[in-house]
Amino acid sequence: MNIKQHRNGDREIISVSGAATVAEAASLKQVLLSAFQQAGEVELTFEAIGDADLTVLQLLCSAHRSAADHGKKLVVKGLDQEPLVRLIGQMGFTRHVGCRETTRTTCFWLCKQGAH
Amino acid sequence: MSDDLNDGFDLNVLREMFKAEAYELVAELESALLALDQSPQDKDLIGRVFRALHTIKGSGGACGFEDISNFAHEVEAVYDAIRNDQLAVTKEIINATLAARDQITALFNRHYNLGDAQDDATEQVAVQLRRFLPAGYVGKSKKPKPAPPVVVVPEVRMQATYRIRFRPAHNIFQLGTDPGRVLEELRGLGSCKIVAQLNEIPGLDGLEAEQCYVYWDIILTTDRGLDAIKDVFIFVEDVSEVKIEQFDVDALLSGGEEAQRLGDILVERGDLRPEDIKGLNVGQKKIGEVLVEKGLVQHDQVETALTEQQHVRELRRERQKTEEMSSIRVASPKLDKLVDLVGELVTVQARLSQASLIANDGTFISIAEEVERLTAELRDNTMSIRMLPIGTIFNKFKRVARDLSQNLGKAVELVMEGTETELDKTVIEKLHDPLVHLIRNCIDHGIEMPGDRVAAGKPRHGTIHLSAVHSGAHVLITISDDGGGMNTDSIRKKALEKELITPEDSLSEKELFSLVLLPGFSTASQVTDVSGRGVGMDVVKQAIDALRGTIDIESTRGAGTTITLSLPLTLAIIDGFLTKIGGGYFVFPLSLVDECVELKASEERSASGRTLLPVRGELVPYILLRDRFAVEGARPPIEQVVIVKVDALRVGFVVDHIVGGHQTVIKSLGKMYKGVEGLSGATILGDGSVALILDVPKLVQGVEREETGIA
Repeated sequence: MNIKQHRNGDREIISVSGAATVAEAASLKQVLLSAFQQAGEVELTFEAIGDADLTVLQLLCSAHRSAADHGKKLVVKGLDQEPLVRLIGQMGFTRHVGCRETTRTTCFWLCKQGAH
Repeated sequence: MSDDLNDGFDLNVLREMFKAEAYELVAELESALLALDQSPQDKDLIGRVFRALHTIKGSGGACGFEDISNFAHEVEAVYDAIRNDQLAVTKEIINATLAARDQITALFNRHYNLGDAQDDATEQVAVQLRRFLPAGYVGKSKKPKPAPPVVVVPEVRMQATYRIRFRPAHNIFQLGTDPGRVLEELRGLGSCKIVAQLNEIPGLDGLEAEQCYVYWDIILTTDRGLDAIKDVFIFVEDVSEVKIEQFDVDALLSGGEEAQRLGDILVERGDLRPEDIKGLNVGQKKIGEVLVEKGLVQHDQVETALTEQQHVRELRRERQKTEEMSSIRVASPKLDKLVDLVGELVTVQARLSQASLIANDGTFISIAEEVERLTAELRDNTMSIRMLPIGTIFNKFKRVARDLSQNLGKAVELVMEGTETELDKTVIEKLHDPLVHLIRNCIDHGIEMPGDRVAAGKPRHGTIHLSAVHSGAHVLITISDDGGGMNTDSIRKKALEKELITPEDSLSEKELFSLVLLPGFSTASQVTDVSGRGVGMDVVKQAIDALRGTIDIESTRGAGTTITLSLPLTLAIIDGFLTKIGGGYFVFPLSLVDECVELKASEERSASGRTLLPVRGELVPYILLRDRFAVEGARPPIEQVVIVKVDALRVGFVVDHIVGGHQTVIKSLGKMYKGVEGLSGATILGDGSVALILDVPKLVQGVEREETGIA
């Protein structure tokens, strides 16, 4: 996994490429944790994702809930990449509504005509 | 067994009921044997052969066909030994079983008065088959005994729907297992909906990123049974919580149109107490939202219930579709009669429409229009009933290819595509013989001997592709091989010998290839019992012409030959384009018409004796149908040119007037018109007059011949 990170005002911008599997999950978690400690908003972009597994979806869910609990914002881009779309469907993450009042419409797994 | 009454059941009635199935069974037996020939280890195929034989034995016995039943038992014994690993499938066994299958067909034919059978052949094949059995082999298959009539029930695996909860251990990744693979395997079992339960995922601070906090609720509908589901979890069951519970989806599916309510699903799943929804006031909100807000259920549980609701809805739709697709068997002469009657109705309807216009009565016209709409619908529906997938004849060619290649010592694989393509039953029936000939030609003349192929750097196995695809109102059937291709020098030499061409004729490759379709033409130096007798390709051509189709040949020396047949979807009724010349009417098949333009006397031009019409910068050759059919009378000052397109060539046909679209019920021409080139049939118009249907490809070929000067 390749992680790039830079700051734009109160926004921490992280871009991730390559594999996103259990082997990389701990490092990505650390990057997200430190980003939230430093900024009010984190933008995470997936680019050219190869292999991916459940751990990355689980991590996104966890980060989204933490952000909501602490009044912070997490924006995720690039979930429309084929390996991620396939993984979301395969793992049964697709949702009709978000799981909390605060994530009702911002949940990453909301089905938008079958696509994310 | 008595041939009279058996338990009040007439045996002849039973035999008649079994007739269609009997031939389906021998077809299934052949198809399974040919597949087994390719994959001799395949247990499923061995099972298919065994089952077909077993049903022939059982049902044949029930119908009183004891000769068939006893013979099928002999063959079945061999496959019983194969199933029990006492015997391996060999080419010899397949050959003997195919011979047995042919003998069973002959015996059926004899019982149904469709042909004769040699009784000694039964014993010969049986002796041959017994030799394969290991010494002293006692199989489990039971000898047939005369039995009372039985209803043959095909093996049906019952479909059931299951609720599954899969909660893997937190450390499943560390144990080297990806739960995603388990979910994928479940998907492979049937119709499956998976809902990840995310409520136990902690916030970032408490998350161990390599642990699994997710568990899954799965709704699976499958006919594979509980054991197959348990097998999926076999490697994770020690480290996971797996709960599988079957639920009675049938009661829901047969319970009217309404989908089961979300609250009821939650109660049934055990996520909600029945008293929690009693008297619950949801107002404008959705029940799921209210239940989550009140803390009665978790969000993920609602998600699962919604998914289950959707799953049951889809099952209901699928079941309705299956019910709609259920079919009845109708004797084909009844269908032919129906098509004839619809044809007559279309003709009468045209008369009615015309009479209404002449009468100029609003009510009459409105009724005639309604009849016209209904007739068109009836016509389309009737024609669609007669459509059959072309695979019904394609599958017969596997045997032809296998037997012939084996006889000739060649290795040939027949690959089929587009077997689901539908074509009128009459066209399919008439297509069998030409296609058999083309495939035999490919194997005999096209595909080289294995040694020659290897020496030429080709795979040992030759491949013949047989494909069908819809193209507008036509079906294109392509037969292509990767053999030696056609030799243009040999064709030219033979054509000169037969005086079909002169040494001065300069023919394109395509024109040379088309010479092989002429009667008596054969370049094979040796006459074989397969082909090369100088008859065949012209017979193929005649058959395709009779179907109003065309043949196109492409060939590359050393690389192979491709023959494309273009055939109309139906022979009974077509969309026509009605025109008038003098007092006579002529119909073009609408599918061939490209456009219409006007022709003024001043625009006529001639180049090298050919008449050409400039159409948007393109010079289109045209012919005067008035001259071609010797129609008397003077040409009008402004004529109409119907431009047709055949095999990429655009040709114009000059007529006096265009009448317009016309539902053309095709009637064959009498013997008097047999020698007239350029006409393919006739139709009756609304006023009772006859219109001639033009054989456009023939007319275009005539134009081509005139252009190239080939006689």
